[in-house]
Amino acid sequence: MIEFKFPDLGEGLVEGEVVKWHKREGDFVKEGEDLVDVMTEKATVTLPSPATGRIVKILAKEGEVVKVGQVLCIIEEAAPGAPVEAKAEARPEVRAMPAARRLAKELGLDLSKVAGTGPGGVITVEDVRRAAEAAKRETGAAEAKPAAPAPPAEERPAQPLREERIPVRGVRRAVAEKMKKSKSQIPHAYHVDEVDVTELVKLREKLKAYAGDVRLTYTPFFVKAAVAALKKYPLLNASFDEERGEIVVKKYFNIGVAVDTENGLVVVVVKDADSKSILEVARELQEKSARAREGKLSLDDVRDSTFTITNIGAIGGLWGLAVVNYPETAILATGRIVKRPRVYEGQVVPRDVMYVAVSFDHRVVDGGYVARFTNAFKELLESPDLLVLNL
Amino acid sequence: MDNQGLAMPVLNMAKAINAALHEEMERDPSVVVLGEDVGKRGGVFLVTEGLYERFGPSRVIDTPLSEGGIIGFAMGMAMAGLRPVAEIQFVDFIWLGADELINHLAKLRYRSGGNYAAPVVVRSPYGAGVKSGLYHSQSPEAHFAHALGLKVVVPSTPYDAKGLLKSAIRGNDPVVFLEPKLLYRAPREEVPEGDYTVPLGKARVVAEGDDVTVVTYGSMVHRAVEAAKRAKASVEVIDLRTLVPWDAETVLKSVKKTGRVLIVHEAPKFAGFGAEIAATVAEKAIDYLRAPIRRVAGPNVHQSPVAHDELYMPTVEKILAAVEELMGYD
Amino acid sequence: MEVEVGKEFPARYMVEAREPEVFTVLKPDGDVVEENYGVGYKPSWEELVSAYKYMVLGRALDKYALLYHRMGKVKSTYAPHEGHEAADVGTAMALRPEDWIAPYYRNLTLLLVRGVPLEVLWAKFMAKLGDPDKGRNLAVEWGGFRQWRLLSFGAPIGHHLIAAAGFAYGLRYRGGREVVAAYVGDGGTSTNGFYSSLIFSSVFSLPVAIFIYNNGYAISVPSSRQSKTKRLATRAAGFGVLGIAADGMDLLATLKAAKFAVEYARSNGPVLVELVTYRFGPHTTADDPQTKYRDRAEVEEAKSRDPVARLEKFLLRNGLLSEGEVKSIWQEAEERVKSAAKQAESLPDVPPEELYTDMFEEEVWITRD
Repeated sequence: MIEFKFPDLGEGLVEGEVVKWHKREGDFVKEGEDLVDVMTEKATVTLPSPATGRIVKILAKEGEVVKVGQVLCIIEEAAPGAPVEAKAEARPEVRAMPAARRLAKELGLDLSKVAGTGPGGVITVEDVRRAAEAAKRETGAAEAKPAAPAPPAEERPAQPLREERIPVRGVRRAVAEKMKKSKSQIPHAYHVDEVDVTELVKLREKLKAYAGDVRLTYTPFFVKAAVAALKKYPLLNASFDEERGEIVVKKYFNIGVAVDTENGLVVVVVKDADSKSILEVARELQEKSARAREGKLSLDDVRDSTFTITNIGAIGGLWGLAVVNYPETAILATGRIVKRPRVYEGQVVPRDVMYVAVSFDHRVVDGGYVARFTNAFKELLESPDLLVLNL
Repeated sequence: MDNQGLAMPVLNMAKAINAALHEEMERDPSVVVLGEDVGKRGGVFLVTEGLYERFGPSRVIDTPLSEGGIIGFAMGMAMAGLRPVAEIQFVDFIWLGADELINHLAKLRYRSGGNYAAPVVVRSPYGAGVKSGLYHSQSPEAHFAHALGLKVVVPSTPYDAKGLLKSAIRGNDPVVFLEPKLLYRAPREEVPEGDYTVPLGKARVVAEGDDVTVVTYGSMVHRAVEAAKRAKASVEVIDLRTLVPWDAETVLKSVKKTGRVLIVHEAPKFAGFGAEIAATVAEKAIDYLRAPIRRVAGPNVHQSPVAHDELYMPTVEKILAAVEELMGYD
Repeated sequence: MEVEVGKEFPARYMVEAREPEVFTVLKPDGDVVEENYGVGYKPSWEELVSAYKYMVLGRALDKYALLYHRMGKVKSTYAPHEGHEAADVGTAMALRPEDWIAPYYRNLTLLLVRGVPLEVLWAKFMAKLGDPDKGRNLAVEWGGFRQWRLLSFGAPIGHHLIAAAGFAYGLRYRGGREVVAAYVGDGGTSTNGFYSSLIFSSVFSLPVAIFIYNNGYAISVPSSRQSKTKRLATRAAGFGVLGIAADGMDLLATLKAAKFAVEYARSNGPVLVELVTYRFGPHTTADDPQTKYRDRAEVEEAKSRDPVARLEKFLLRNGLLSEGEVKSIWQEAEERVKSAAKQAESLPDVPPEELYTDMFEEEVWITRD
């Protein structure tokens, strides 16, 4: 009998949600065969079976959130052979007082889920008790047990329902946590500017014909312009390491591009964007976006970005202040390109303009630096022939 | 009078010890007292007052000025069948008799394969808080504990002092009996006249509580009790009374109840007796701990410079602050 | 500025050390010093022959102890005492059976005279069951030989002297008349224990006789480094007690001086007896004096005054022993020593359980924690 544990996929991922089992209890499965889909913060991953044999028990139901190391199912091996053990558990470092640990163990509570309110964030006995109460209430609500405790105060069956409770799961949950983390850890500041993209619009129009079957959007141009500007202002291509008090400046340029999907926002990453041409970037984005919408992204597609670009304007609105993609230092949000009257060479003429808003981590840089970066970015879009120098 | 018809005079610790000596010398002719100035003068703290007049120079001996001599001589007396109670005028001077105390008195039973015992009680005033400088303030109980073959007793009340000294004198093991000089004159309490003993090796729960266990002894007991009264938390105070052997059972029982331990002693923290208590609690009750084990003790400098004598000693405030800190781990 | 005592300041206000002569009776060739032969105690012929037998036995035991140490049978450091036999036997014979002894680490023959069986000594050397000290001490640390009226000794020298004084006080307190004979080397007279012992014994007039075995060396440090005076007996004056100096390699001189001293102590108070002797061997089995700090010539000279040889010559001279008897005494001694050793070898080892016993009268939880 082997226990199939949710393996450590790296990148600090600690949990995932079981989306779909490819096999049922009692089914036979071969080693390497697709066994279960688990959705993590970054992507949905299909886990292969570690062994050949019969699935005797599935322990993690679809929709259940599982932790790294948690047993997902038990397989009774058919053929002799060394079982493929899941990789060694990577338990995150959790600080708790000894009595709290013991209590958590007794109550079957996972300490990494408990919020610590003791000095330095350490988990105390009371914290465990509170978590235990909360867990009880949660399971009480999710599973309608016949011997359920008294209904919570919010429910008043006598009155018609005035509110609807939607469980936060999956990508929504992942996004919610990400946003919270980013906003709570990073002191956000913003820089907004208007870019005259009239020349860029003309250029793209002209180049569309040469792109072949690649759909050429403005994004690849933004990506390249951003890379050029980041080279001049590298602090925006960095991370703030609070623990060590260091700013980690990345020497590589993995540009993340936010893609809207049915299930929510996903950031696909163009790795080493500095070494790719606009066409290559366009092709890559097209392909990844398609897969994103199909929910078929791999972890590799979504990890390791150093700077993110997001398009706010697609649906409407002038500009928007995006949330920095933690643990990066800045995110660049582009608004819709619209025709507006502007003063150009002394005349009031229609120009194509676009707002850009840079949200940034004020611990790392100040407004002036960001303004200069934005100016550099702007310059390349307003005179796109300058992009040729960066090929 | 108490309900047994025993008279209950109100005595301070010095007088209680004096009573114990009178009674034991009366009871057992093999009990003798020796030390510097213990005879005619009755001791510099008057703890041996009246003994010389009552029992005479062969039983109450003013010795030459030699701590090594006092301890070595007492050991010889004990080997010959006497029960000497040797006084070291200030425990700070005991180091002149370190060889006799640590190398010989502590090891005599063991090295003689059990053929010799040395029922010697070495009693001595210890501790700071009386502005007496580096050589009249030491609290060296940790050194004696580490000798392994000496029992170490530290009373905190007149009642305990009398009863513990009697037990020490009657036992057949060498005992270092440390008297907190800060408490010699006050407080006073009812001490039964006549015979009673307090067993060695048993702690006393002075105040009961559920939140924090304070383990202490000697001069710090009263401060701990005061802190317990003033604290918002429910504080249990344990007076060890004996350090070798100490009542780990009582302490661990309390720790398992409260989950928070604070150890208080006036001796410097580093390598002090509190470290032994802390290590034992960690060894035997770690998963009952809701908070780290804390020690409030003297600073790690020589005990105790006259100008900073008050700064040195753990105060009620310091104890309270530590209690509060531990309560931060709910 | 040269100061002439008595001239610049009156002599009667000053005190200076007076060095006594060393009392001798037996000459190395077996002849006697006539004027001293009649002094003090007169031993019987039987006593002298008995003394000789003990000295031979002591020497034999010493020889095999060293040999067996090199073979690993003697388990810890042994202090050879060849050269000390007369001092040990002479002083032992001066004591009454009820008297007590505070030995130091070089008193092997003394123990034999006081009745400690060879088997017990071997059990101790081999750290076997049957050692009163349960194998806890070095071969020559007499920890618990109480049965033979020996006080307890542990390596740091000096403490046993002050304990001897306390013990003497205890004996007197209980109405007895016993003497405590304490032993120490020249080095040990510099210790705090020696000093406090003489202070306490003298001010309380205790029956303590301290025998100083001055063999000229404290391991490698010469006795001139322990005292500015040549004679250590001189120390006695400073404490207001009696001091005597005698030849410790001369059985008769030692016996007479010791007998006088012990009885003096019994009635008057402490006495310091310096016995001038020599240690033929090293300080202990861990030492090597021959090459490092002692002259070969010096050792040879001392050996020419060998205490056993001296008495032997005297006994032969006076027809108290024949050559044949001498031979068989030596043979017998060796056999006794060897067979006792063999017996001891078959004794069981001290069980590991004994590591934890005898810490206190009743065991405390701490001991095994």
